[in-house]
Amino acid sequence: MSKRVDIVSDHLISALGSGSEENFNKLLNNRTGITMHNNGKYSDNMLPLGSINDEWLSQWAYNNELPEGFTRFEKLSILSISEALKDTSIDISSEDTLLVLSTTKGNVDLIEYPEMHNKLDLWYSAHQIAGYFKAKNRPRLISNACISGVVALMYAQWQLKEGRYKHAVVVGADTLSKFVVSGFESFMSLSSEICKPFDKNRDGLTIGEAAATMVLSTQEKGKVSIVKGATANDANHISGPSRTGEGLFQAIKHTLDNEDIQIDFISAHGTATPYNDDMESIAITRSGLNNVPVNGFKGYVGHTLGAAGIVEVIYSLWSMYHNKIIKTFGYNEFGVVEKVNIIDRNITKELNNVLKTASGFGGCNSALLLKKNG
Amino acid sequence: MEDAIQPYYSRKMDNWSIINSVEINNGKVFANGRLVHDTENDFTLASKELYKKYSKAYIKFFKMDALSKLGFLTAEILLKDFNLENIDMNEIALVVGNSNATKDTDLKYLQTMREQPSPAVFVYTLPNILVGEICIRHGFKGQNVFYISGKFDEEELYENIELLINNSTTDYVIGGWVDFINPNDYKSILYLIGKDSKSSKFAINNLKRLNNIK
Repeated sequence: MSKRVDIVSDHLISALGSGSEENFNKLLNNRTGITMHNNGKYSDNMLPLGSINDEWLSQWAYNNELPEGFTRFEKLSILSISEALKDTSIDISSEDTLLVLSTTKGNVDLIEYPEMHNKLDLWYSAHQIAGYFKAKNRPRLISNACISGVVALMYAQWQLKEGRYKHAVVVGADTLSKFVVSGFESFMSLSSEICKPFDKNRDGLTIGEAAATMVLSTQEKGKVSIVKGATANDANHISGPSRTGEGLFQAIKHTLDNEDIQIDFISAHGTATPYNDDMESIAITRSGLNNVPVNGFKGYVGHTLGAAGIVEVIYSLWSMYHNKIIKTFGYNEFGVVEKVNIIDRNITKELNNVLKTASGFGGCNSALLLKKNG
Repeated sequence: MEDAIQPYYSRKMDNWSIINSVEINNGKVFANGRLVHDTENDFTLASKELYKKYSKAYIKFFKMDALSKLGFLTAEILLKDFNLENIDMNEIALVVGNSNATKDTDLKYLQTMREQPSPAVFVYTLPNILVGEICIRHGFKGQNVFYISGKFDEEELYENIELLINNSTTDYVIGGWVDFINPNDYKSILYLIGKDSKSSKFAINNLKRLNNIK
């Protein structure tokens, strides 16, 4: 009875540019979008950040006659959804279509302005975005730390495979703010250089911003489908990864469901903090996937928090379209506790089954399986 | 609408029940719909009262923000007579929502940000941390979904739990709503959902019957 859920369109805007193709071409050329910032806007320290060029956003808003009254976070989400829907026949205002949003902090960049506090609620933004598109169904909103994007995709897949809706538009977004940057700085978890996932000398993450959209459907056909996703909790620590990788191991186990399936590539979370990357190497090894090529995308656009899961699934998707595994930018010398297969240069490989993983504060872990349709 | 109602997702729910429910609603505590505790104190004091009455020595409680304390206490009362032996911890899931995310703690973090940013406050600026705290307390390692909605809606909760049950090997779900605006305006309700033929059926009308949140 359950229906196949295909990915029919996608778009993202990140530090690498606007558009999935634009982003992927830069990935193929191993170009990072992360730049050094020292203007005091987000931090008093000089920091690498994956920021979106506001000129792209203003140009788009002008060209598309976007009305006033939307915040930057909402505009980026609207831009990404509009562009993702452009080449599809899917009507977001139809009762057949569900809008699912993923974010950790929404409009938190406005928290410093008390007159803007009425805009801080995440559901306020969800209604603003849904209202712009005249979405018929109530938008659903997932806020589950850094696994939000993967959870939103899993949730949308559940909705569609049971036939509750025919199409889903899943958007993940988070923007840079002093709130978030100072918080990670207070944790001493930011690197002063572009992050180095899985590297011996990795010393922290780089924060980025993005809005990323995937359009899913059981009616329209796509080259890749979402097979299954799962989450699991470490039940160990609210901010530290599990030393045994238990939660991520469980999430992968539940996603692969004891099926005899050959995974061709893993797009890991790879935040480049010492503990996270070690934990992932342990979980991947425990899952028997230690020979599978693994990369981390965060050296290209930074950690985009509630958008990250969707950004990295889109990058994985384009990797599948092109049968290319992209080099882990920032990775030089092997340095995680278990011997996993970190990709240090672009390689060509037939990619049929791809696993995306993510982990986050609150001890949450997630995995999502993508499959190329024959 | 060919897909309006599909037997695929109603079939499995027949065996599922609401084993227990606990609601904390501005100083009033209801267990399975019955008032079991009532206080005039605001949450700062009420949370201490409830901790003393229902919880055991658990030093981490005092490090939590108000939202996590509210979720933690609701789960303590919900699970106090529930035997967790012989239960597969990997198959206990949490599906929790709220409306205000972590607004109260966000504003507290903003204050520290202007002086000395506090990592101990910052870590609580994600709503799913309360789920993490409950998982750590009881050792729950199952699935987690945290959702945000304008207001508590039993139909939305039912749908989210049903989706999770249909799409996983979960044995028990702790599902509900934990929302904290300020020490005088907070509400939570958690339901323990599982396969237990002695309890009332897992159904929207039963979720509504057990709830005083309006």
